[in-house]
Amino acid sequence: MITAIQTAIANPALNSIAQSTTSALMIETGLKAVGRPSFILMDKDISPQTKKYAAVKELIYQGTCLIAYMALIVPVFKRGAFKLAQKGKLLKNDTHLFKDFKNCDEFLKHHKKLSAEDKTAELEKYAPVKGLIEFGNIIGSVLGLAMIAPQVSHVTIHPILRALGMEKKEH
Amino acid sequence: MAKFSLKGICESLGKNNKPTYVVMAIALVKGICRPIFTMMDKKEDPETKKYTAIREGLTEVIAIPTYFLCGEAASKLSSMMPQNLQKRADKNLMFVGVCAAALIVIPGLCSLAIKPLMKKIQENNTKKKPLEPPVNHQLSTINHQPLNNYSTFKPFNGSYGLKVGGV
Repeated sequence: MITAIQTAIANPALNSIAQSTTSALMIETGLKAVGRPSFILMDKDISPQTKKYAAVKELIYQGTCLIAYMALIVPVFKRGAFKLAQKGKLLKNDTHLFKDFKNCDEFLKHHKKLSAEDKTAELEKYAPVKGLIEFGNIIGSVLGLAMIAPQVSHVTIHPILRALGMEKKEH
Repeated sequence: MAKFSLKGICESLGKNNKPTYVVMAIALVKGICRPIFTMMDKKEDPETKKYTAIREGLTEVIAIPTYFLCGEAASKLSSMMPQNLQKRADKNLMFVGVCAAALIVIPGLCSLAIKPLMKKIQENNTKKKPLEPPVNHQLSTINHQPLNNYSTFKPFNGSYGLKVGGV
């Protein structure tokens, strides 16, 4: 029994999911989309209308976050910042460092394979490259998840509530 | 001053970036923006908006320490695993801890914290509610008098005009 639990905990498939940012984020967002609306619906101290509004809004928000992450943050901000730097439009003095790699994914793959000691040594040289990718990720995440996704859920909440029959149509 | 240039920021992030920076930055902006957008909804009932906005803000406040604590606490359990599995188990348990935080711990804590918070806000609102202005009864009675007096107008009830024949 204990061995079975230990094997399950150290499962290689789970490990590869935990190591992949995209997979981890997708699962986490999916869990948020289930957990948060469920707890709102379980709240007995609020009116049914408040329950519906808050729960549906949370669901839309989490869905939008996932789409924004997949469609905007990774391709536009992470890869886009790298490409701009390769073309010499960002960090002009370090363009040669960006040209050492074909694209952002190649750099990240290469960096992931290195041992901890090699990573530290390499970052002495490639710190601007890794930093620009991280900076693009932060800017993209803040814009996408904290500013665009709430706006989308704000705009779409009433049409969706009406489509689901949870709100009366306006005359 | 060089630190605040794009190159300075990128070098600093490249050498020493922790995932916490991204999580903190997102949570901070989310905690501010989400409630603001919710309160901007003109079509929704104010009480519903208030509850949703408070819950959204509160979730972000609770989420930051909870993700960290759940991840760290779960990964500590890896010391109970055999030596050869410890490294893999450490990452897996941290992920499981974060998932548990996302699914149950954070919304559960939020549900517990929102009740007293909403009660306090409601109490404050009732305290702050201004006293109703005194009603002027004289005016109110005047206002209730019918403006159209023709229905009570009786021309031959004998109480006015020229009386013929004495009394």
